[in-house]
Amino acid sequence: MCMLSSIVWFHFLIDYSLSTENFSEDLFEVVSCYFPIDYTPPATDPYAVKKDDLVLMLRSSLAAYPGFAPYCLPLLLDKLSSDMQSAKIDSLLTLAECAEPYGAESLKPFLPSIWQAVKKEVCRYMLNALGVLVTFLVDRLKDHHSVIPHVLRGLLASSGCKNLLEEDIASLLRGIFKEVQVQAHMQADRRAVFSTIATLLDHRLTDVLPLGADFVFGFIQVLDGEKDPRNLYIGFRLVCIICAHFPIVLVFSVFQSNKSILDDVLHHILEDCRHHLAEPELKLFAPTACLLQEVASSSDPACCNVLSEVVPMLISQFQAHPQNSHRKALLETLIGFLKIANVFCQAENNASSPLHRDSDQISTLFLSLLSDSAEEMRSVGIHGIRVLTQQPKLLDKNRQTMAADHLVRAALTDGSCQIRKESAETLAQMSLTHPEVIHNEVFPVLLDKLKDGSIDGSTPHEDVLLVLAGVSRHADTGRDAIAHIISYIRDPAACSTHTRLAAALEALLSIVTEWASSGQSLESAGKELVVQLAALARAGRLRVPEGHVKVVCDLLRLICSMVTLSLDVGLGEAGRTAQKLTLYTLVWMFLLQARGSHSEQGSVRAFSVYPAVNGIQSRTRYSSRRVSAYLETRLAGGGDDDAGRTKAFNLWVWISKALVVRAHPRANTFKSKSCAKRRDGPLSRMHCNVRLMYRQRFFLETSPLLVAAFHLAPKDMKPHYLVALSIMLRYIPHQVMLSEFPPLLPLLLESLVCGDADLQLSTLAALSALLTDTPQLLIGHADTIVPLLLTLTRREDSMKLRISALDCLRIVSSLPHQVVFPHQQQVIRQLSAALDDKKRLVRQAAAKTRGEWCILGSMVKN
Amino acid sequence: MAAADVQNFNPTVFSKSSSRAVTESELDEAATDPIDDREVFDHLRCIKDPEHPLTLEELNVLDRDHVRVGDDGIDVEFTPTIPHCSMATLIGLSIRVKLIRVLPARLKVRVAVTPGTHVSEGAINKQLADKERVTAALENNHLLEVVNQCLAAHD
Amino acid sequence: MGQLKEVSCLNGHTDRVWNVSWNPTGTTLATCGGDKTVRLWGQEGDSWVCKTILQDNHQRTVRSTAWSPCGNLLATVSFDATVGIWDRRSGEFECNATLEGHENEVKSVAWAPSGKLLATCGRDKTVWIWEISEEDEFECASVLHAHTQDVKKVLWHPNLPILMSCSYDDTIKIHKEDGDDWTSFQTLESHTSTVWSIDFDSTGERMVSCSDDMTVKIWQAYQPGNKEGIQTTGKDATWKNLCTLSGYHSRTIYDVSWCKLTGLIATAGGDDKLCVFEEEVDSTGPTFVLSTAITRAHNEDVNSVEWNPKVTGLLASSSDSGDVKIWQYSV
Repeated sequence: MCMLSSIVWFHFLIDYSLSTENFSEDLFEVVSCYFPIDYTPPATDPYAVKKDDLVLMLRSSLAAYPGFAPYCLPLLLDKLSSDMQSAKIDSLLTLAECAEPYGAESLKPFLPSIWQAVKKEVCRYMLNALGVLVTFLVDRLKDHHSVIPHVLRGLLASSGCKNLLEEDIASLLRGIFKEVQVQAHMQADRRAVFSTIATLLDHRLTDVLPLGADFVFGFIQVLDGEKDPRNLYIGFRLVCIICAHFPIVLVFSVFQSNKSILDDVLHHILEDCRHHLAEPELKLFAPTACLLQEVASSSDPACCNVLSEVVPMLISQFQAHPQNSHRKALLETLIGFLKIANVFCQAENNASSPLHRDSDQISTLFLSLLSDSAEEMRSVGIHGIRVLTQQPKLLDKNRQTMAADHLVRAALTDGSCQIRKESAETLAQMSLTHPEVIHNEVFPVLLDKLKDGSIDGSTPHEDVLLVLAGVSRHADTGRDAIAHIISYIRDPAACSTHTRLAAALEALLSIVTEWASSGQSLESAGKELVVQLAALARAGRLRVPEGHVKVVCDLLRLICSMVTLSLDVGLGEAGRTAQKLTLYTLVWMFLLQARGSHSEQGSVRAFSVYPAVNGIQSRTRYSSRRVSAYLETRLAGGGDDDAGRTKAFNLWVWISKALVVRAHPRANTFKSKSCAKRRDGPLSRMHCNVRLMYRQRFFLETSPLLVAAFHLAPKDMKPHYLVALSIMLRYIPHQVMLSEFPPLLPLLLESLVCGDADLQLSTLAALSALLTDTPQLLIGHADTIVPLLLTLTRREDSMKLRISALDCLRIVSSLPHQVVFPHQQQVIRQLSAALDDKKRLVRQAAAKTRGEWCILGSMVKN
Repeated sequence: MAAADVQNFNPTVFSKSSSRAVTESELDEAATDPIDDREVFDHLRCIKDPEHPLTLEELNVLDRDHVRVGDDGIDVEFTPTIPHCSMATLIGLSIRVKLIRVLPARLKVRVAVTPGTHVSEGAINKQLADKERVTAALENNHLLEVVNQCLAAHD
Repeated sequence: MGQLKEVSCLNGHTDRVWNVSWNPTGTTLATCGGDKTVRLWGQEGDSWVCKTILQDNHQRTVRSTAWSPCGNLLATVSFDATVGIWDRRSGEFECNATLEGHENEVKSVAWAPSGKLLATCGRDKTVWIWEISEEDEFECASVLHAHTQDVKKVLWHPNLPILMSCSYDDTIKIHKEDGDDWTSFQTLESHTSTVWSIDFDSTGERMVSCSDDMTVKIWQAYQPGNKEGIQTTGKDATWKNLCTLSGYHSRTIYDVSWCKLTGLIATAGGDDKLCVFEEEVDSTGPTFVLSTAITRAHNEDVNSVEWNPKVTGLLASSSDSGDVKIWQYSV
């Protein structure tokens, strides 16, 4: 624990750049003696310091101060040659971590030794059967050439063994690289070699990694000259693995600060790779490109260096090879480099950046592809343009215009659906980085298309609208787009079919959604939109067919939520009137959509209105009167149209719900009208379900109405009142219950007698709650309740009901002794039937209940 | 109960089995669930021992293997914690009473001491089998209270 | 082979019915049970109805009733350790005497054929003999401590002044008056568990017993000087187990009744079963075979069974389920 804290302290010390020059050697001495950490925490260690923690801490402390370099590097090299596996790995990892802080200069003199050490890594020879075999096989590689194929098979087989040790792997690979002239052998043998390497890389990567550059060089030798596609397939895959895992690149990034060294290294690499890139058959093209991309992505200067060499090369290749497949590969590689460039060169922005130099050529290249006859080339072209547009300065104005032009045409008229989609996406991308171009070039084209009113015009309006929506992400473009869409909808000649209308609304929706998610403050625009939509609705332009209603709902819901954000108290009279009108219009619009028989749609619509209504604080007298008048006429008039009334009623319900939640005085009028409406069976059932939200005040006001109505109601309507009552009772506080309950009891009891199982369940739930919380209410009625409950325990149609009745009966047993005792014998006797019920769950409930009744009067009964 | 009266100071405590999971067939209105061993055992396992604040299951006085439901009736055997346990009759009585209260009367029940586990098992078994003796005993309020204590559920 | 047909099902008791007892004329059936009441049932037309309910006398279960030979008195015994004597002199049945003495539950009562003696027995292992004086006063004549366990039933011999009792101690004991006091002079051991009930045939020469060991045993009285050479003592007959009927009941047999008119034996079992046996004589001697059986005579244990003393083949039975049934036997 103290060791850890002292290491931390050193770290701290060094971080704060205290002048430690004089002490650097001593400091190093003190810290380095702990390297490598060999520590096992004791079993009962209260601090739970793990070995890994110490190792990491030490490593970072060694790496903390560049001044340690001259002392540390020799130490690490020394440890690299130690016997312990863990020490070697530790040294390597520490070396990797120290490389960067120490800097290129410090590392330079040690580099050869480092590589030597890595190369010279010879593991201690451990006696194991597999190891003996591998050594034997490797020795045999020196034998007569006829033996080698079989040896290679043997090595392949060994490579797959799980118990192969690290040193065996090393000797295996080294043996192959050293002794075998791979390309001189038959395909089967070469394949064996490739497979061996593949197996080792796939399954024993960590053991191959220490071989480092040796392995990479060896592999390159193996791969060099390979022609057979089967082997190349394996080879390329391995290259990717190597690029991903071997830390060959890390070393390059160390040289970031020292340009000349970097240049040297890169120059060497590029020379090597050049001839591969120029290969006529593009054999090693892909792996080389991959390698170069990795190198380029390691640092900014590397990126510039590599790109300035590679890009012209690729372009010249492109021009030299007319075949589409070659070109495609070249271009995809180019795009890969461009992407890397986008990441790195963003900060730079100087004219000497390689991309700028070549940007003209590149953009011309891609633009030319846009009108290529082959689809895949067009696709590549579009992809290229997209990457180019991600950097705002890469394309000049002219080219931007050209690109936009091409793209919009492609998006609308290209034969391939895929191309159209990609073009549209690219345009959308462009609208973010080059909004003016879109606005000036693309918009006019799109709008033009929309003007064409004929049904069988060249471009379907739906597609146009889709593209329009896509390019309207930017705030200004969006506002324009909306304005245009609105006028489009208004024009009966242009927006002449339902599908067009739906598409237009979808476009509106997607633009507005984009606004909402971008967090832009666009309430005023939203209100504008509402007003315009209202105008459209009044003009009868918003009649969508049933299948598309959802779009309208979503749109309006979105707008509502935007609008309500802006509602505030201190508006002038004009503002209030505007709000009233807004609400009124919204409701009106919904009602105008009342078509079709889908009641669910109705509730969706109603639900959308709810937040709007909820947001409005007051002053709705005007609108609500109009609304209520309208609804009344609809309810009364549409006597036969059940579905219509259902919808209207739904709306009514939601509005009244919103109003009640706001404790609005208007609510009372609604409520009393609602009670009257309850003459209508189906409506009342819905109404009751909605009641869940209502509060105590409502209960107090309504229950007398309810009771009165109940007594007047015809027999088959009564269940609805009972449902309402049972639901209400669950939410009322006790005090209220005590005083209000007596007139309600007959209703409850009647519902226990009625045939409907659901109602009975509901009543039982209410009754159980009452018995538990306010038993005093029911004491006087035990004589009536007990027989009722007993009857319910025999209901054959519903086991839930039986169980519920049994549970309720159990609670009854807790009433005062003198109240329940007279019933004891009867209950015990009658419950014996329930003990033999065919359902186990019922039996369990019956057992519990009967048990409680059996011990009435006992001291155990609580 | 005074310490001197407690015979078995340090009983071995066994673990409780978990509660029975509800199966799909049990939720199906149409299916019939027959009364099985587990169901009877579930009724009995929470019965408390008269002396210790533990259940008969925890004391291993009752276990699943000794509860058998067959065509001719239900057989329950209980194992007193020690061979001289004077509470054995009371435990047997509690088991009988519990079963009388929770099982349909058509089922014949036999409650007996597991053979070989008590010095007076013959006499105890005979008493427990005599329904007249059992009924008369339970008309004694004091005894009934003790039995009710053993049967009291605390869940 | 015969058959039993259910004639009537009498419901009314609210707890198990322990005992049925026909009056000497066979017109009234007395039933008693756990609801602490005694019901008297009579026939009205074709059906049997409850004529009277005798209640509020006993504090606990009424275990058994017995009619005096004259038919005017009814003795009821209860778990409350008392014996009630009811008579009709006032027109309605009233309990005009309560006999106390037993320490705990009284389980059975029997009137001697003379009508002058009453026997009771109970869990306190005793058999009490009561004398009825001229003024209809009851006095304890003797307390017999012969049994070592709970005594289940007492029964007087039809002709002789001897008393039989059967017990939880697996034995049947015979008692007689010896001078001033009563003694137990014979013990019949054969059953391997509690003997629940006994009954005599019409002659009194044979007796039947039933037990928790699920068997029915027939006993024969061997008089002094019997030809079988069974040893006897003094003037007393020696009773020996004649045969055993087993395998007919799968649980305790609670009651047995030997019809004095037909010689049929009826048994009531804890397996809900009613069995009727008849005698057959074959080469080896008299034996009893099953004439008919009702496997589910009641829904629960059958506690009691008795043949009507006057109406041939009429049988009454009672059960834990609280109902009483009347059956008609016919061949």
